[in-house]
Amino acid sequence: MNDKRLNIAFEPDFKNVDKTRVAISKLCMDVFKNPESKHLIEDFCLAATESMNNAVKHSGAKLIEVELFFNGREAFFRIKTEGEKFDSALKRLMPALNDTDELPERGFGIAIIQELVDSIDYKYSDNRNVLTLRKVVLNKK
Amino acid sequence: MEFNIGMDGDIVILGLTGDLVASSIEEFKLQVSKLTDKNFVNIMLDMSKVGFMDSSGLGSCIAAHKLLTGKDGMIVFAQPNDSVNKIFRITMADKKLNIALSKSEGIKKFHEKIISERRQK
Repeated sequence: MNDKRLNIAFEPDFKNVDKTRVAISKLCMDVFKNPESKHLIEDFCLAATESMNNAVKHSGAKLIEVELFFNGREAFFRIKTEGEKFDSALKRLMPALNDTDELPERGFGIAIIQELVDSIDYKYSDNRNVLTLRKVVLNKK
Repeated sequence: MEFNIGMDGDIVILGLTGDLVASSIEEFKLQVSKLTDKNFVNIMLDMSKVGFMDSSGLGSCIAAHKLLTGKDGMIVFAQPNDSVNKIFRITMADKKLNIALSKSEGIKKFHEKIISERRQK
């Protein structure tokens, strides 16, 4: 287990998501220095951003807590919010842009997360949603 | 987010600098809306200086596309970087939106549209 980790709590505001995304990206780049990891880190940061955006838009929580930690080749992003259970949203599929003439403007976030990470773990207890994203980001140097 | 506006004939070149994300999409939508209010309906969005885009940014691109095609215009998303292009690709938005890997390819798409419209008349 790598000792480096990040714990941030922020009020639900998209500007705070921007700042947190930059902090996540910097720490990941620091831990996984090899060039091959760059695009995997970008994918991981995008998935983390989508989950934070969802929390800002839909959770109704006054505070959003996030954790970033590492284990060998893997990066983990955990987000915790108080409020109603939201796991049914995780079953959402990508809007079918290729099949129809419809052009939806929203509904891509969760599908993008599913596409970009290696696993998603969701737990709900004590009135808290806890979502953990795991991504293999290759070897460290 | 910063905007830079230029012209190439009848085509507006709208340059974006910054991230196209949930915190900035209203600014982008406002810029597009200002241009359409002035009857500029052919826009090439220069995305070469957009570092990062999330699904809200994608949604704003789709909204701009719908707005402009609804006015018989067109928007071309030019020079997206690899990570931005990946969003277009994995959501399959690249099948519906006009995406150009270079500015010259973007201009060519407008010319193709003009030729196609002339043929229909």
